Amino acid sequence: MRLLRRKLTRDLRRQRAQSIAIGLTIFLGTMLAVLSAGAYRDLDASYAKMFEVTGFADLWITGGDVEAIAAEAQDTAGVATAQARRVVDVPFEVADRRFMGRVVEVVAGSPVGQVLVTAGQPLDPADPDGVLVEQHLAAHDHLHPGDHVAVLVDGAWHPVTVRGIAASAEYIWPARSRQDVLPPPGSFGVIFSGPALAASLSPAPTEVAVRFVPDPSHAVATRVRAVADAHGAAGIMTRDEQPSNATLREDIDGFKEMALMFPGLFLLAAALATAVLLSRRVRTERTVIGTLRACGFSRRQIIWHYLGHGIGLGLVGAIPGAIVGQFAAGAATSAYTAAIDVPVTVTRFHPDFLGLAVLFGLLTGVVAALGPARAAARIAPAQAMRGVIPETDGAKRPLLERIFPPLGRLPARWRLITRNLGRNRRRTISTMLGVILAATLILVSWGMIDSTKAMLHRQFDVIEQRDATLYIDGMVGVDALATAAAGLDGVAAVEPMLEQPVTLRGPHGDYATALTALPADTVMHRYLDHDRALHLGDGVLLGRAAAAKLGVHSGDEITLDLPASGGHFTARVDGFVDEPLGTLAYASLAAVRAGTGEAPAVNGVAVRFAPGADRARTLAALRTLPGVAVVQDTHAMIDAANDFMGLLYAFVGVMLLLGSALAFTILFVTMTVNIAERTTELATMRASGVSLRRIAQLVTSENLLVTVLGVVPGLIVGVLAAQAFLASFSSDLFKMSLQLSWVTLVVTAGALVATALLSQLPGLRAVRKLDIAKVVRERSA
Amino acid sequence: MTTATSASPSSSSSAGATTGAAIHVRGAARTFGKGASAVHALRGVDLDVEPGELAVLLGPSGSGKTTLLNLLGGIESATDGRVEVAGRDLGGLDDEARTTYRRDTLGFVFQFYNLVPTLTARENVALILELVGVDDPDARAEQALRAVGLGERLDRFPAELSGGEQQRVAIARAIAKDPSLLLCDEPTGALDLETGRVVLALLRKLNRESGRTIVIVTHNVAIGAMADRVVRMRSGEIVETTVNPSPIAPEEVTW
Repeated sequence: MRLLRRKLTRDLRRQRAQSIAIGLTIFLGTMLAVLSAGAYRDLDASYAKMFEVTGFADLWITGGDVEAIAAEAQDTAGVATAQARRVVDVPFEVADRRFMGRVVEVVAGSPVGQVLVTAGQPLDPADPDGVLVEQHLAAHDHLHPGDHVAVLVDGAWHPVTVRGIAASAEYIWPARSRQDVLPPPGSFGVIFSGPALAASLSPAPTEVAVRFVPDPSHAVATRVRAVADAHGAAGIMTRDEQPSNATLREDIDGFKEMALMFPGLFLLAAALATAVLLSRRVRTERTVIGTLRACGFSRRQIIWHYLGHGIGLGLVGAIPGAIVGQFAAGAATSAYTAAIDVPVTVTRFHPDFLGLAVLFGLLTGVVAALGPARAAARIAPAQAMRGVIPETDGAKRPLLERIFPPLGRLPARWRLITRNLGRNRRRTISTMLGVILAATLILVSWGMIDSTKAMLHRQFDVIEQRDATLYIDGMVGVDALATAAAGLDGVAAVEPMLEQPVTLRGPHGDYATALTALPADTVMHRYLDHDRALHLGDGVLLGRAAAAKLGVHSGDEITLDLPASGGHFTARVDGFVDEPLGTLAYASLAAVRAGTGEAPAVNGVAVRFAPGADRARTLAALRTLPGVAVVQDTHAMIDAANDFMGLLYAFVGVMLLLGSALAFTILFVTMTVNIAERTTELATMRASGVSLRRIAQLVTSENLLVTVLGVVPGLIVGVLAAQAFLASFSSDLFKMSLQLSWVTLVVTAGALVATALLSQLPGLRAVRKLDIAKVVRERSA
Repeated sequence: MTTATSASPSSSSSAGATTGAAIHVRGAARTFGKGASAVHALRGVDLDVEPGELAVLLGPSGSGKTTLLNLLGGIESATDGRVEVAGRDLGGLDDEARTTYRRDTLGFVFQFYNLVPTLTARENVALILELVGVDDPDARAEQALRAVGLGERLDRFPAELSGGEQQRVAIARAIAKDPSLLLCDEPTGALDLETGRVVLALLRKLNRESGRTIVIVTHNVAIGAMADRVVRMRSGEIVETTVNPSPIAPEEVTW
């Protein structure tokens, strides 16, 4: 057996290039598995640690009798703390820039809603105008302890002093709301204050942050909800719905998807390549196998010998892959937490993932080797010793030619090419599967880019028609502000607008979102159900995701609670809009007035620019208008999205490289094996005076044909996989539907064909170096 | 080394359309490897084969006969000496010119047929004709297969043919280009006596009817009896060349 092991290592060394290619693919698969799974777990642990340190709540209740809710919830079984606090959205002024910010009250000594001070001093009751600035705002505006920020209090700018910089579990991802999780940089910021500043903005607490005891039962949330409902709460938000947590959860769930999907693709490709390589080895070693069997080696020993190839390749790839993946997971976690400013980073050693990855790498090799190993063991010694492989497969016309007889009238070289597809069906199928896997990897990645682009185009070019939103400071009436804005150069249209949080109540549940009300004949927004235009009428239009959450259909009635104003009204659902970003409620100002029985508290002005207007100049002019607290530029959001696209391009670039590597491995192995098995034929052609160029054309045509046959189903499977992958990202926050441009499909197909051409080069080089004299005397095998 | 004077065979005058190629080898040597591990496969060989002759190279394994055949076929180069076939010095040819030489001048027949299993007999022959650019390959293939007696088995796949029939397909593939020189490497090595005789008879027929030169490499001494010229080799050298004034009929060959 010692000599058999030596043979095994020499065999692997002899097919060094193919062994390295397969080992590398297994390495990539196991590395990606440990990296993704490890990073997912480390990030999860980092967030959990952050939640623990800062007392992240389990529920947030807004509206109603907040103090009564807090008091009763505190006495509810399973509740550790129910803290009433003030959270107020209010304009900020930093340097000369104004934007809509948020003041969050930090209640001293409370185990809920605390912050982690990363620079400067904590809040001090003795310094009522001293605040902590949330780290994203501080980073954007280069704020340091001792700097000043102005907050609009009762229509006047009130300066406060930055005591320190803080991180909060509620704003790890600085989302304004569930419907606005991607605010453009600088358009939103948070200040943490003591009771004095918060009370000047809102005399009474606005929400209750509730923290459960460890490992609470579902009944706790139900009991707290009952308490909240009894005291007229307008909205209840769980951890899963909390904007920052929901966004980050979506993001790190991507790691979980990756931990399954991408390594799976690589390991499958490695398995196919291993099976092809080993099948070839078994075919060429028939006489050796026959001799071993004749010498008394058992079938089991033969099986183990060839399984050893798979085990060797699996371990050679999986062990370093798992180790590198472990380190990469830590590095990825640290890079990720650093990129999004999570102050707590937990990286751990994951022996279970390490072990599992090695096991899967090993299994890949074993499963792939099992077929060829069993085939080797089944070879009868006498038959094997003759060394002739019955070529019965070729002894009939292929099905394709029987179905399409004209194919049988093609020139002989073309018949050779088409028939070689069926000559070793397993290898042809393996090659096609390799192409399909690579196409899947590429299209899933690239699908994200095309779909994100299409999503942004639909949201900002097709649906959203306003260029800017003016938020008022209450000092000037909306009508006067609108008139002033309409008179500016570059402004084409203005409309009064109401934007405020709303809780929709339907028969199957509640849904907290935002209500946007505009004039019924608005030109600021297009309401589209797919491509069908809807119009604001007497009722409300809802984002499609709300239909399932509320259990309502078009024509049903729902209740809208407006926690900011304390009002509520019932309205008919007139239809559902199909929008990629957010799930909002829309109504006409007249419908709100009719519902609430009072004139809606319009809080903004929507502005549309004239074609060709100078955006920067018009925005600057809008900012100088009296009564404007904040000007929000719609295009800033597009710019932010485009920045995000840069990251996506990098991700897709890496995936394209990996996809090409995957395709290269399997194509390289199958094509070199294909050429190696046919050296006698090719040498015979050379001996008959066929030029190298003609042989290269023949081989290339064959390889291209099988690649193209793989590309077609590959594109189909890739599109289906990309659809499924994107669907896993879809929620009420984002609706990602697959959009792939034909350019993407063509480039993918082209990349795969180019990879096929590249991967056959070593084989063609072998043909060039063919020792005709030696080969033609050997039996072909 | 004993060398007899060569003479034209009595029957070579019945040449057909093809004019056989003349072979002149002078001092040809072929060495594999270098230094102490060098193997001298051929050591200064001289050989002349007249146009239209059927020559047999005889010798045990390792005697250098296949190496000499490969030199004649232009798939190996002599390390020393001169190899001239059909008036062309093979030593001065680059790879492209050698390919052209093999295409225009040679037909090869191998011991193990080397047929493409997924192509029928007709397609196997037509494939090479197509690839070397011969007009109307299908018709030429059919003609060649009929010439070797396989007119009824044109569309059979190799797996549906006997060993002898497969070798006849291989011969048809070699002669379809109408080469002036046919090189056969152990053409009966994988066949039984009966089938081997059929193949030898076919080679003789092709030699006599078309006048093409044929060189057969074999370790089977009996085959020498049907040759016009018998070249015996040992340890890389030609030890004897015999001109056979009255070769026997292939049907009389026995082993």
